[in-house]
Amino acid sequence: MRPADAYDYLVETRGQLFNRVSRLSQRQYTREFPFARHSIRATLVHVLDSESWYARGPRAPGRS
Amino acid sequence: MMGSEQGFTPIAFYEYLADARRKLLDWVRPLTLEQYTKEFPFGKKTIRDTLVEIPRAEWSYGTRLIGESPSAEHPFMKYYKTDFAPLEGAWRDLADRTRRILREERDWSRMVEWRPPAGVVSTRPVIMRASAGGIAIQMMLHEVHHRAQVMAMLRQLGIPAENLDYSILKFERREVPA
Repeated sequence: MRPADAYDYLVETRGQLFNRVSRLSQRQYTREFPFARHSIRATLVHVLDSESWYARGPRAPGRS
Repeated sequence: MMGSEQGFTPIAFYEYLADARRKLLDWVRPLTLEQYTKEFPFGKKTIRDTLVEIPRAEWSYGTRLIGESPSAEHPFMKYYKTDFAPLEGAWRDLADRTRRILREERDWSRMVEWRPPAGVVSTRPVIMRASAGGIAIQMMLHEVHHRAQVMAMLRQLGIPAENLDYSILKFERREVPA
């Protein structure tokens, strides 16, 4: 069981998620909900932002 | 944690889920039966049904991993009709079983095949095939998916159910001089 396998699955499902999100109007994309990051846009950006931080942030010994 | 229980291993991931689950169930325990069964327009519609879905699947995937077929008499079906307390006890016992199954697995790349009951996956007969690791990934991400739905329902009941991130529960942190 490798992290890359689990990540590949996430990327595949992300494609399906984006297909649905891409059909939303701007109003739907930014509509407020009383949970999570309050809008689909803000919640998706949070996922991207976190992934970006973890991918470049922590540095293991020997990893540049 | 020691050895195989550290890093990216099924048992390490499961221990994180179990830690997060304790917090989740702390939020659910004080609910009234009315709150526990209130209908929402997403997930499995109620906190009860969404919550029961998690151990129901965990039991089934664990059963697949040990090479058995889930019986028609699924041990978690009855909790769709009870209050929360009996579910919590049964889930604790299930966690011990799941830990044992994950620790005893020796080959995560071995392939497992099974034939789901008619109507579960498809209206036509199918054979399912996945690696043992794949079944474990599905079991654990399935919990994360439905746990998030329960958290959203709790938030709508005014309960600040948040911060079950792995980084919050499992990353080490130490104070340093300012």
